[in-house]
Amino acid sequence: MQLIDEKLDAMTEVVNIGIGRAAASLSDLVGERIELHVPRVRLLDIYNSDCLSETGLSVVQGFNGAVAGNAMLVFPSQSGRVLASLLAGGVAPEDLQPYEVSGILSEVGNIVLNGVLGSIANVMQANLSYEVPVFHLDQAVCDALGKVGDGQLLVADAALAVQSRRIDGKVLLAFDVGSVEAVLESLML
Amino acid sequence: MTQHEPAVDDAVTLDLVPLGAMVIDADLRVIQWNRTLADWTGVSRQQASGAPLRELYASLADGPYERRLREMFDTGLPVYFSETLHRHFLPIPPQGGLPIERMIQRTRARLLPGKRGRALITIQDVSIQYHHLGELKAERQELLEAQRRMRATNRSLEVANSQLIEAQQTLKVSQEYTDSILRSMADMLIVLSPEGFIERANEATTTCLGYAPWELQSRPAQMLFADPPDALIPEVTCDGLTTLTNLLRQLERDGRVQDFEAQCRTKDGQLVSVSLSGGRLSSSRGEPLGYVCVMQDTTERRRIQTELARSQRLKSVGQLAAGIAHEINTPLQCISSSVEYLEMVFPSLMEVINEYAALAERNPNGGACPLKLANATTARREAPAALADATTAVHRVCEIIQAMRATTYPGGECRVETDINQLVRDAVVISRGRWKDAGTVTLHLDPQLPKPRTMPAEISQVLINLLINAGDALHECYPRDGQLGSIEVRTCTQEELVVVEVSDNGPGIPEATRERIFEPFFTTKPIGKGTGQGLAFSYQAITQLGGGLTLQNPAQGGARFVVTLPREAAAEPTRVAAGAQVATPLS
Repeated sequence: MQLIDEKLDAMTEVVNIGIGRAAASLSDLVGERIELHVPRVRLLDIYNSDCLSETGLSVVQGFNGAVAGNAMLVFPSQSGRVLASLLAGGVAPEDLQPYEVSGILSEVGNIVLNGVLGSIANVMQANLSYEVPVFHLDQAVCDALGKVGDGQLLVADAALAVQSRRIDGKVLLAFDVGSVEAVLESLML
Repeated sequence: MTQHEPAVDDAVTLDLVPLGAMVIDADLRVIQWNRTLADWTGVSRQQASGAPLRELYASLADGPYERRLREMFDTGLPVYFSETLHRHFLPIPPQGGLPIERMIQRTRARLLPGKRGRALITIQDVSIQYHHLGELKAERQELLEAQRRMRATNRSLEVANSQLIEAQQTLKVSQEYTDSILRSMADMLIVLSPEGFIERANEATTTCLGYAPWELQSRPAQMLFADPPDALIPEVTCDGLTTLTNLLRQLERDGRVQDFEAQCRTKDGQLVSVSLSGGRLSSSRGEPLGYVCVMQDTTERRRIQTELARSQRLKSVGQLAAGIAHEINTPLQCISSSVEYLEMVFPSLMEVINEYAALAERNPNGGACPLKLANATTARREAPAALADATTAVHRVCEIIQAMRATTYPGGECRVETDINQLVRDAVVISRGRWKDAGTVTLHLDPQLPKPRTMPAEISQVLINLLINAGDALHECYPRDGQLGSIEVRTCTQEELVVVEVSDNGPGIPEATRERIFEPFFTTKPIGKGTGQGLAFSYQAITQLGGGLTLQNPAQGGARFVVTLPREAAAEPTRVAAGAQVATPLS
């Protein structure tokens, strides 16, 4: 158990590196300071979790190679719309149309997930290939994420701060069978 | 596997894709440039091939594009440039003829699998979709605006509605107020249409004429009236058409009528005299709306007028009587003096005649006495009685005339010291004809009675009224078994009051009518006998003098009226009234 905790600490650090890079990219993109922080990465048993039944605005990006699976950035619907409206330059959330929310959050997802996945690939020194991000509007997490082979999820609670507004989201990493162990093992080398 | 399908050239494949597509290397140089891009940008494949992107489009050097593309080569991670945050990747005129400033593109870049140094960039022109979406958005905005206006209209409608309800409420209150006024009116009120139909009638109308409200609604108004009977056929009762026609004509001509005398007919055919006043109703634009009429039931007023006329006639008769009494008085005094003289000298004359008669008897053939005394025998026997009768009668007539003069003396408003006892005696004399067949009057007069300052004519009338009433009461049960009834008049002083009591032993006054006996025109006497004014007048006269008139029902039966007068400023009696006796029975 202690071993797992240590690995998760290491994973938290890896994710934070990627997230940090993503924050810089986002700040560049919208021309103002955006902070991104992942306080802790947890390992969740999907059979004992309510996490998958929640709905929200999500972006899913697949990856293949030494490890495979899907990475997801998900926001509660209202938070996701507020974030999109802040990044679009202060348009009122109710005036943003779904296709506009979709475009903005797809790019945000792409940047954040690129950061996380890039960091993991970097640590693993693995050669991974990636899919393009796909946006899901108000869909349940389990439907958007697709199958979860291992029955285990790496969950990183991500907190964004934009224009003194705090927006909470989650980064979920669902790995194919055996991939979680491979990732965590690689961290200890 | 003997034969392979020839590999399709990547460039051909890219040309078939309906997206702008290019392949670049890690130095961001163009390796492939598909036909769609060439068509869109006007940059041919030859021009583009081998050229660095930033040379083809300097705008890509600015901003995040180059950096993120380079990161893609470093990490292998795909890049997504959303249409919302970037609007466009390359300055390509949009499809569908939209102006260049409306261009919107969605761009993705990812490494080509198996070709580490190559990346595919696809550009999707979504300008027309966004244009369409923009229109939808504008329409939605308009819809929202319309919705907002509708809500505002709705709110103002609600306000107007509540104001309307409030106005209706006010109107209802006002209507109820008007209804209550009409309901409370003692006079009849009818509203007629311009054609003479009844539109409204208040409760006084329906009550007085005996109809239910619905029986009058929208009926011709002539049903309410009765025309004067036809002179030729008086037994035929006409309906009120002529009356109504005259009324409407007058209203139409003058705009109003005042004191229009008419007869109304009740539902059961009774006639009611009314005095009608009314006016024409018209709208603010002057259109005729009909007529409103107020009718006052004058049946009672007419009765009062008749009574008044009769009372005035009686007054004239009284004045006439006073004049006659005055005129008769002088010759009467002469007759009275002469009769008294005759009575005085008659015994001497009788003596002479008797002596003469004795002389004649002694000398029957004496030539000195030609008188035929035989004829004078009856005269000598009856003359004294006749003279005595004449004297009594003359005295009686004198008494009556004196009493009449006292009663009818026009006292006016002037108050004088009044000998109440004398007024009682005069009243007894005047009223004698009304009680002598049914009873006797006994006087108990206080010789020390003070003389209050009153109007004697009024007091006299009051006393006569009380005595007449007492006499009428006695007539109801006397004479009985040869017995007559009794009236007692008593005068006395009680503290500061001079009191006159007139009592009878008649049937008394029933409890039910006691409260009303002082009301004008209230009478229990047969029609034609009583006017119902005697006690009312008496009550009014006594109270005006500061006194009181009350009715007592004594324990022994009968009725007792008590007149009280203030003795204030009353002078002490200067003389005992002549002839005043205590307990003098009169008959």
